[in-house]
Amino acid sequence: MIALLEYLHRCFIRSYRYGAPTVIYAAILALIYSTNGNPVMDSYAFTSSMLFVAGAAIGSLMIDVEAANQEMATMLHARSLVRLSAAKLLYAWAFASALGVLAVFYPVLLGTFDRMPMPGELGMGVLYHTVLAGLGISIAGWFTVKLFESRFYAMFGLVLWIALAFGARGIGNALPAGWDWLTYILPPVQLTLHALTYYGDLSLGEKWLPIGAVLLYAGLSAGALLLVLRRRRLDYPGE
Amino acid sequence: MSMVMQKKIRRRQGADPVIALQAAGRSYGARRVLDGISLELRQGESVILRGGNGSGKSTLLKMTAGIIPASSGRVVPGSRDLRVGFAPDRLPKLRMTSNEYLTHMGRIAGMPRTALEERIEELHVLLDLPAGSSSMLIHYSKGMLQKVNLMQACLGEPDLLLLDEPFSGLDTDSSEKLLTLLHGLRARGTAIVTALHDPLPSWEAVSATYRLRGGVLVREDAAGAEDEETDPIFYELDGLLSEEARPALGEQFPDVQWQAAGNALRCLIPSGGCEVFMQNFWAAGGTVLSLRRKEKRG
Repeated sequence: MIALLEYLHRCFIRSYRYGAPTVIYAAILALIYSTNGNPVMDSYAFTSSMLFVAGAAIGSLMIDVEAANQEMATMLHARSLVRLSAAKLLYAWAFASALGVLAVFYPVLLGTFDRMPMPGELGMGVLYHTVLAGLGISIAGWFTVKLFESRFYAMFGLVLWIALAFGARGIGNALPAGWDWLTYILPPVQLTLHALTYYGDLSLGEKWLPIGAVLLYAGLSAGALLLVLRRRRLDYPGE
Repeated sequence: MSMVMQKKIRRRQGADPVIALQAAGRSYGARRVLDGISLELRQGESVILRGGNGSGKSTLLKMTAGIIPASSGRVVPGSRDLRVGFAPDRLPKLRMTSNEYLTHMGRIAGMPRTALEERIEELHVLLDLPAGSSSMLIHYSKGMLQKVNLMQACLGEPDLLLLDEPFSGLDTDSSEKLLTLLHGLRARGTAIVTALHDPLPSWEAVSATYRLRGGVLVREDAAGAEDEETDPIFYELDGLLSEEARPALGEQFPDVQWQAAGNALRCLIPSGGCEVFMQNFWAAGGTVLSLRRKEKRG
């Protein structure tokens, strides 16, 4: 696995695919922390939800980082498409998590918060950013040319799924009584946004619950994706 | 002795197949690309796949390698730890040096570092590519990229080696070197399947040749023996030959069709008699402008 991660790191860095999501996310951080007196956990709510989107972009770029012929050769050397794909998801998660750590400590170092965050808040900030990065990556794996006929439809599906995740609360309210369970199919971004926005009012269990929910959703999503890839192998639907 | 151990020994002795395709088929939607392919490959055996563009050669290689699943039938590897080397029709231009790329592939395959370094050096020498070059693959020519592609496939001395048009882009000298490498691997027990377009007598001599026609795999030499009339292969020779020499050659080779092609003439030669015809053509003072291997349509 380490050999795979080293190879993917070289592929990703030299492809410059990281450029757009990294620069845009860094620009968002620079913009919102260009003023002083920002509230700690509300700021983390915003930057972590943005990292969910950036993570989805990084995951989408990472899963297709190899050309088809290159991927066939790598898969045979790795002897498993599941191992190769898992390494891609893991690398994307590590990369996006590094952006999450930057998002948590950048305003602290610059002193642009309205107060100094408590160690517990910093720890929770890192955790929320990390799990949301993983959530974005786990759903991005589904929307690639491996499972869609064209890159356009894959990107359209990903953007739509992200938009639905952010609108889950509104969708739940609009659904007829007894049908609001449908929103559980969507990524639980609203749970984390709510928890970080009302952080001070929540019990310890209520603070940990969204982290568990996101980890469960991301784990199931990534696990199901790997099972599907194992069955389909490199049978691209566009061919 | 355990069943697994017995199986390994039997495979080493060439008794069990390295891989077996059992009525394997492949469809894309309603289009059936491969139909009921049955083939067994044993250690040191070599198979050549022929067929026109889009006949399914690459699909068959990918299915045999396990890169894509079979839609019907089965592809059964001889063992769970079967090492498969695969060279696709072309390697993309990567932002890595050949050493970096091959080192990554070898390490991913779990090769020990020292053995890997030696093998990479050896393959660079065998295929005449500068080892340790700082040039990235994006700056490589088609032939140089093809060499790196072949090197990654042969890196771990696989049990089964699948090559899609391996000679494409290689000059004559490099083709000879690749043949030497393939003969060496075959002698050490690697089963090799090559998809080929062009004639390659020295490799054909040690290989069984199959042709894909309408998704079905047909043994080429066997098909020819059964009915030479239906042999789809012929050679098209464009050349120059004096008017006086033509009748004698025409009488000697009644199966050859003669056509005028500008100042030159075109001979359509059945595959079986090409070599003898060529010798007589040259003996009669003929000049060969081109010789192409062709396949009858339909």
